[in-house]
Amino acid sequence: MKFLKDLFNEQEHKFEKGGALQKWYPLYEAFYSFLFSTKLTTKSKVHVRDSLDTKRYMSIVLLALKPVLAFGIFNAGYQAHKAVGLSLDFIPVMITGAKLVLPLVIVSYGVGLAIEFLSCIIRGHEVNEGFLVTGMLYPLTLPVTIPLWQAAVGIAFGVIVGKEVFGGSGRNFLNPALTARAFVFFTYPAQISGEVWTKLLGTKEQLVDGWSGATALAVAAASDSVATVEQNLLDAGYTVKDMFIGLVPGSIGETSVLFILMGAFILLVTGVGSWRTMLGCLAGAVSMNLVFNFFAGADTIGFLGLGPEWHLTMGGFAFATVFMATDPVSSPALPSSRLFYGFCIGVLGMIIRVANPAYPEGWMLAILLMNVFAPLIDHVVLQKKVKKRLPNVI
Amino acid sequence: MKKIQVNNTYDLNLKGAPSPELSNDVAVSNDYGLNLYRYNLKLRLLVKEGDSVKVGSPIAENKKDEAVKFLSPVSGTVKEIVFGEKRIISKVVIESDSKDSAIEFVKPSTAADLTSLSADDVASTLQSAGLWQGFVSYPFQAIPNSSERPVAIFVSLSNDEVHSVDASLLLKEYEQEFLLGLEVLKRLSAKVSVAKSNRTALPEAVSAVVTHEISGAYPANHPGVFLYHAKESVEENKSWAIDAQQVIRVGALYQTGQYPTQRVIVVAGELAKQPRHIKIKEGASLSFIKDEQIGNDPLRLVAGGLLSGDKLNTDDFLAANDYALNLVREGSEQEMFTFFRPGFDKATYGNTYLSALSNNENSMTTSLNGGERACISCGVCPNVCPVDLYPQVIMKSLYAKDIESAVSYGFLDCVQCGLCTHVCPSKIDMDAMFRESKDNLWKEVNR
Repeated sequence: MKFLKDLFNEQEHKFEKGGALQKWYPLYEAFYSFLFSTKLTTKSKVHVRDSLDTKRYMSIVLLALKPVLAFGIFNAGYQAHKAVGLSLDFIPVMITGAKLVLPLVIVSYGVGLAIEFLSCIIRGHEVNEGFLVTGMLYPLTLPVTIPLWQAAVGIAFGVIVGKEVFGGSGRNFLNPALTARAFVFFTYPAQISGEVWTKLLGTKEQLVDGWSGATALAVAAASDSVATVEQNLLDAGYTVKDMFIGLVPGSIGETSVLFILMGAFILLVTGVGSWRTMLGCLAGAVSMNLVFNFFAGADTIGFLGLGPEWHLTMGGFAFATVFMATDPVSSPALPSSRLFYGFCIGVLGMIIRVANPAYPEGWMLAILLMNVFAPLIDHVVLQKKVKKRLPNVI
Repeated sequence: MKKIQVNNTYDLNLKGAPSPELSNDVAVSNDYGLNLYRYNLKLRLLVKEGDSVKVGSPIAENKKDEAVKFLSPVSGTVKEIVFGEKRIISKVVIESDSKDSAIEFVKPSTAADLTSLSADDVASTLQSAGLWQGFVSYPFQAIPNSSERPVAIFVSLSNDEVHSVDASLLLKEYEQEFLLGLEVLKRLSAKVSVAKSNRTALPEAVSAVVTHEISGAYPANHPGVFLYHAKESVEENKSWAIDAQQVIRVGALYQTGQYPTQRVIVVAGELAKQPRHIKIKEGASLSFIKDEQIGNDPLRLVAGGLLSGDKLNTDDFLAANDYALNLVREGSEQEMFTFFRPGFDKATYGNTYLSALSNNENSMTTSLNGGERACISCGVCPNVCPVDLYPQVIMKSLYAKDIESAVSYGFLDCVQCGLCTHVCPSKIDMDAMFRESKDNLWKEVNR
């Protein structure tokens, strides 16, 4: 690999200030630093620096997403095959799943990275590796049925409005992947309303008998009374165990709680994901759930009566808690405010999911809303902490 | 003895730790000198090239506070005065005549002689004997003004920065000087607190004067951290701190009457042939480092700790407050796909590399280990702040030039331990930023 390093080093002068290609420095730097570790050395009184950099940080998140992506591919194929009665063997299912999911991932990365590079060239910044995570999170929140062009428009909006206009990764206040997802949700409701999220291979006549394709959330929301909601879910083929393992229809990455927990384990052990945010989300969701259960009665909607075992395994709760709410940039900065932030997300997400008929799922909106409140939470917590110090008067 | 537990600390575990014996075997050249640029002060020269000087002759004084003087560590002739950019006095080189004839600042005294001294007597002796700059006045960590008297003095015996002098070794060697020095400090301030680390074993006589025991890794025993955790009132924010070796110098001054020049330092680091403690004279030329280095790799010579020291060259001189010479490899080999590797050999604070599974000593170079990025609020820096700050929040305030908010968040409690900068994955140099802002604020306050 020495020749590659030499090649880069020989070409460097062209990209430096005053060189013929100086405008393209961000592009050059991105590839160079992707391949090789930095040549830069410390200049100040702190002479040695930790080995952790943002590239490593982001690649840990990517690592945590790998099992979720792999299962997402499998499940997309599995659901499509199941709907039309095709073979449920591992290999054909994976091939179908890959055909459905990978184009979305490629579009997300392709469009997003192009915009990322372009804006870095315009601003003269180095390319941020934060997009590598955004570009992976976004397709995992989509249903496989979404047309590719809509996915492309969504990620373009997310990267530009969610991030680049504020100055790139680290300066944004909204989670860019969720901004993209919200854009798609509000712009193309027909494709993403959450009714049928399974890719139909072939015509409607080929569907197996009794297949409806409705997601668990849709079934639960359509139940009229507390007494029937669990039975309705079971009738539609949803058990807590199935939803925990994840072989149910839904967005690509959200269905398997089991695989998301594997990702959570990686994030927590490495300290990359905040355990406070995750714990807060869990506590918020469970306590709101118990409040709903308390008020559930004969004349309320059925959704109110579902227990935590259902709510925590259905829909996007697990994925949102582990991967979306823990985005450090759009979270509050202080550890103790993260607990409160997570709790608010849990409560709000449950309210939107259960009590609001307009939206099938609540986590995206809850997290985006709390992103906006994050600086306020930080401010309040910080003022409290400051009061405990002996002030320096000058 | 009060106990203090300092959380949010971190010990770097690096190769090249010094052996705990004190050796005397360093052959230094005949040229001594002062690196005056390192003090970051406007100085007035008091000598010309060719002047003859004694041990203790004033070489330069602070223009703004003329009582603060910098003295010659040897007797001989002024060989060369080097000026830097903007005519800053960079170095004064003195050729030693090996006679060490010295100026007497004070009659050699014992503890009993000190009882009659007032705070002003002590202050003026320390000022004329060039030991005033051994004090650090908080919160700006500056040399105290010569007219100021301390509310309280905090003495920290142990230095827990990676590769620095072992306090038990030092205090065994200079027990008498230390105890005398401490008596002198008690003349200067009614409240003198002395702390040691729970990891340091001290001679009995010294243990008897210790008032606080600190547990925690670096920088729990930093005098500023000790002050932060031990202070009882707002006034004590303006306390002074002093380290063990400076107390020993004060004691030596009163014991002999002369300017003390002997120092104990460590020569350490991965590139040091024989990492060890040495006795050496202040102002010694660092050219001897060439014989201490393994191989011919590019070397960074750091005077002081790896997280707070100054980069020097082998033609520089040892200053009166240097406690270590660290030899660390400059730059690094460029590896492919570092961020995909398991990283068994990567020194790291957290658990993002598999090196977290072992306790082996690591090797570190001066590589930045990553590109500079915007803060991603990863939240690691508050975990290593010994004075309970949120460095990332303060950094953002200072970035927006909002110094008032930064001060209200406790920015002036920062002791410049360098840990937040060390662990930052975005490689933001908060340490340099904080130093600069403090300097500017100090200049405003002391105009």
